Amino acid sequence: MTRPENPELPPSTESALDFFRDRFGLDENGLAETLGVALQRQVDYADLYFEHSTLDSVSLEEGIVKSGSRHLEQGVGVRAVTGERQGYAHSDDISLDSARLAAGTARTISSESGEGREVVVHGQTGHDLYPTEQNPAALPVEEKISFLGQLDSYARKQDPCIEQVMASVITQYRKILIATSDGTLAADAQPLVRLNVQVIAADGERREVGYQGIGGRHDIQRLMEPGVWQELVDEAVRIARINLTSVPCPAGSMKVVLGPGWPGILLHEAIGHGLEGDFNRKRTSAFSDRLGERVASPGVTVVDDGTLPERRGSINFDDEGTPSQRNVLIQDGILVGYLHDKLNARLMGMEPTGNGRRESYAHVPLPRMTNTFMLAGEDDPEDILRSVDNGLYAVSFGGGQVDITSGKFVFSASEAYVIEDGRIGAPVKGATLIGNGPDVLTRVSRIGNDLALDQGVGTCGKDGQGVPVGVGLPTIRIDDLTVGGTEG
Amino acid sequence: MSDWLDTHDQEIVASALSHAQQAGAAQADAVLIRSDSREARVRGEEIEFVKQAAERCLGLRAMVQHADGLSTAVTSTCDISPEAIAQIASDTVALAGATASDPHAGLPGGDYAEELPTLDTLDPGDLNVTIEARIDDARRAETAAREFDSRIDNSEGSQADSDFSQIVYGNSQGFLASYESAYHSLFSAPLASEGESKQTDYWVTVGRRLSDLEDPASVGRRAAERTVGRLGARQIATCEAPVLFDAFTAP
Repeated sequence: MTRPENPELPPSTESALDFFRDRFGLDENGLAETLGVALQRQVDYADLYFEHSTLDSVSLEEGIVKSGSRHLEQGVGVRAVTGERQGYAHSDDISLDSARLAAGTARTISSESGEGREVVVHGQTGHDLYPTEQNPAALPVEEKISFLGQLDSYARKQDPCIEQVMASVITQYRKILIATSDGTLAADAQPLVRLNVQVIAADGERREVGYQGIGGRHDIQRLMEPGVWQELVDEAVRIARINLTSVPCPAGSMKVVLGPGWPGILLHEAIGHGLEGDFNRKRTSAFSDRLGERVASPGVTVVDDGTLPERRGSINFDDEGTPSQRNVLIQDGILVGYLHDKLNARLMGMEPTGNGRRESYAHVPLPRMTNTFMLAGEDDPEDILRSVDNGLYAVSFGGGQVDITSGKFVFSASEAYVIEDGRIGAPVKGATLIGNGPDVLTRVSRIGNDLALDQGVGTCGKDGQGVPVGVGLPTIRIDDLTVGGTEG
Repeated sequence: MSDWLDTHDQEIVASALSHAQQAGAAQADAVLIRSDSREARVRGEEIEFVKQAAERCLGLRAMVQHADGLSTAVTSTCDISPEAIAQIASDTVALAGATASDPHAGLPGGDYAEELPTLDTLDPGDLNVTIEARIDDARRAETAAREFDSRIDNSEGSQADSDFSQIVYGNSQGFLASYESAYHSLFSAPLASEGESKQTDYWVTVGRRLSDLEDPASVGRRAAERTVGRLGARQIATCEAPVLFDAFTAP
């Protein structure tokens, strides 16, 4: 591919452009000509999205790796947009011929014939947030298997109560190429790795689970350093042990302290989704038409930042070729921004924010989060705990869900403790947090100085599409949140 | 859809199995899923989204013999060119060779079905359903929802899906067969407002045949009825109480 226009393309773009050109013959002229097929009808915008992705995993259970897996996914998706209407077609064959056929189908969303304008696409400069030298799956499977064996025996040695160890190593390598009718040519090579450990601890008849995971956009070797994986296993064992001693959770309205890191999932679900451009453009969000209004306590600043190096939620470009950026959503308690893809930004008269993401070529882009977190405050986390007479300290969460329209949310804590007289008390089982998105941040009364991001295991689901994301939070205190539990 | 019943798919499965065995698999099985899908969403007056796709993906499982059992690997690919199938077969066997053996692994020894029941999971007449017909279904649901009550003033749209698939399964014990299935649905999600309160809910109908689906207008009305019913929801005090699950929530 000739690209004299921009010699500054990052290595991830260079390598992905070379890959699609050498293997599938996708060049600038062919891509521009294919976009022209979609533009033969009157459409505002069209894009082509080519993807080639491999997913490798090996899992250990009952002390052995019984099976390995490898999945290859590839294809092209073509979209034509007119007003708020979108036509989409996709094929599992990566070729300009398939893309042309799909373009012919996608353009039928518009019944008006167009002027057939010509497109020229130029290499888009983006970030360089993760290494691309090698496929993270390139490590021989034998090494992954012997690593998991080592992890299994280490975990069992930590505590005789550990009955079962399940662990998996997952590596993904995704190459994408995006060409759009507004002249963008973007390409990226995205590594994504993950190590999961789950242990089951038993005490008499009682069995409890401890889970920990870690991951990011880098090579898998980093997670195979003893200092990294042993800490992960220790943590999974600690959680399982704590759960063995947990007691029923008290119910009612109380002060809740959220620990740093993964509890940021509450921010993601209860606030972040409601700030996605599509819900706000359609006015179906509880945050619709509220820009400039107070939606959180003073001191609360929430950002979505896709530009953090090597984080799971980071992307050099979004899946429409817009470079990712740091977007402030709530500034000192005031709602200041939404997350946008191109379609919703255009319809709302705003700028795209680099949040147009899709699960794969078989999916249409939607406004999605990247890494979403609250900035640190000034309070000492110990002081925050000491300030609570009676309440709940939630350190980690399992599942959660939100109703975007009414704002209602519910989350279940996977590790939580009662707070008694400012001190952490007994671990509780089955605690759920129940609240309302636009309301919950107005009840934040203390913000810790200990912002932490999660360890890189989050996957966000929306409209049946999963994308990797990150979350983060400092220790915060929320007053009068409803806690669901089985103790009165 | 003209080449819907494609015997070539059986050849692909047979070829994957034979490549796996040549590469050293003691046992193997493979599945090829061909799918054809269309999806249409109408929101308010507008056709918001239309999608059409046809795809094929191959899944392969290979088992390698050891002294104390078989070791397994599972792979899949959407690239089903002859070269890609040969490659994935040898990759699968190599991966299986590296995993630990399991004395309980292996295909069933025999007694495979010879006469396959017809489960009637696809109506051939439905294969010709046009995207326009499904857009019309979505539009009727959307209109019925919006007209149900003046408090229904917005929506997430009404969506119709029709998916057809052909599944070919074969294994190294000599079994090779295929079946077809279809899945149709119609979904509506209106939004109701009253004062400061905004609520949404939905209704959906699903079926193997288009004729199994509930009438589109009824889907829209039931969705609207459920949504309006949520208006005026209030918080209750923390308590222990009997809980009734409606039939839709209970599963």
